[in-house]
Amino acid sequence: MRTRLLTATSVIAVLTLVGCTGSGHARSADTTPPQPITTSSNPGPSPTANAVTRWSLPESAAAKAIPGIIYRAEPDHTHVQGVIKYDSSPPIGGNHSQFWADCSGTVYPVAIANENAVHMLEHGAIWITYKPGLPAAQLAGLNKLVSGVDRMALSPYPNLKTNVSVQAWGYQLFADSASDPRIARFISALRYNAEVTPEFGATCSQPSFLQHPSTFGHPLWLPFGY
Amino acid sequence: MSELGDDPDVQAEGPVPGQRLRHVLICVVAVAALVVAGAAGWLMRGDGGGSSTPSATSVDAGFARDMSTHHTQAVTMAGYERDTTTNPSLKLLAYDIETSQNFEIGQMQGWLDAWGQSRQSSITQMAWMGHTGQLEGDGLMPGMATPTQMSTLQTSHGRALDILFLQLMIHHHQGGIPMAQYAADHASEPYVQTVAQKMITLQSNEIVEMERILRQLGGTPLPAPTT
Repeated sequence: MRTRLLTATSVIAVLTLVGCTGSGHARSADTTPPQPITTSSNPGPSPTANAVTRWSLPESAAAKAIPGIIYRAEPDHTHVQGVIKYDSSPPIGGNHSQFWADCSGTVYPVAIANENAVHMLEHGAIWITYKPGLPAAQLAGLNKLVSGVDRMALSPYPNLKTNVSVQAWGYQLFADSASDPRIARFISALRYNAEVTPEFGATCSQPSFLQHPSTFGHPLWLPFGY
Repeated sequence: MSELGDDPDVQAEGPVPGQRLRHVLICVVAVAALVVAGAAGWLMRGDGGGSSTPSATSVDAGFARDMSTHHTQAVTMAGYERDTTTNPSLKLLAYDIETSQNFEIGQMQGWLDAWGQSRQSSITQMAWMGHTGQLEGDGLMPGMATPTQMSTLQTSHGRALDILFLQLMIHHHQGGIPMAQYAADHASEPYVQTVAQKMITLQSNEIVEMERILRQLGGTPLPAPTT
């Protein structure tokens, strides 16, 4: 009762102030909830009418301020078996294998499959990729950014168009050098960020993938069989 | 209250045109009266904490308490499935649900702590949803498995376990989504709305996936919760 009185008083006070000063504060201007996109392409008969199968999150202002960063909404989140054609290389979102690549500060010496890597992006990982043959000193710098740091993974990527690229779900940055300062900004803005991570709270730990990682072009998929 | 405290500075700023003097004076008097009223309210406030934190009866606190309880059962079901199933795909799905919902429980419990609200409450479950908040006929929140269903699940194995797990988890998600939808629409804190909205999208996606797997295993979904 008293709390209600206080709340009501506060509301009236704020309204009065807005009326007098001609300005107010939009409380949730930078915390817009995710915008679901409903679709009718729900496969098969289902009691779940209008299931949300395509959805995306608003672009991050902090990420947008990084020169050269690429953003794409990437609304598809369905688990699909087999090789998937992506709209960017390396991919930054879209349908993927149900088996996410381990991203608990993992350094992969060999290229892993896109389909497993995209799923770890959905869990908030930053995926750093580099052109095979990158000078050892630069590779050591990338190792240092990733090794042992949760929500980070590093792997070579065949035919990468620059020496290094960095990916988060919906975001990408290409760099000519591992020492490009924008890489640290990218990580700082997007690594396991609640505002941009589609599945915030899902884990990066995936011990069985770590023991036997997929290879490029050969995504791992766990069977339904017994 | 800090907005009110700042106001005299606003009033003191810059020259005031003569024709607006009357309006400004009214505003000054109105604000001064509200400062007094607000201060009185502040001094009279109950144990609910400051004016900016959700109260025990708020949508935010009700959602955090009841969805934590709802999630905890899902974590139990998923943990048993992960430990017991021999189906690699379902072991992974159960692991994903278990770890994600455990994380969300931690988030919601953290809010309650920060708001000074108890995890336990004598307030009726679902009351925070107003007239849309109904318990099912068995007195459980929508989508919750009954004690009998839980014990059946936890003594099942093989394909029968996987089918029952999927049936119960689909039903569980279907019951939880309207709760999350109400919080996404009516919670006062934007971060609560955001997390609730993410639950809706994630669980909706999982329902589609689980129904597909269930059909592959030859099972059919249970009737959706009626409340």
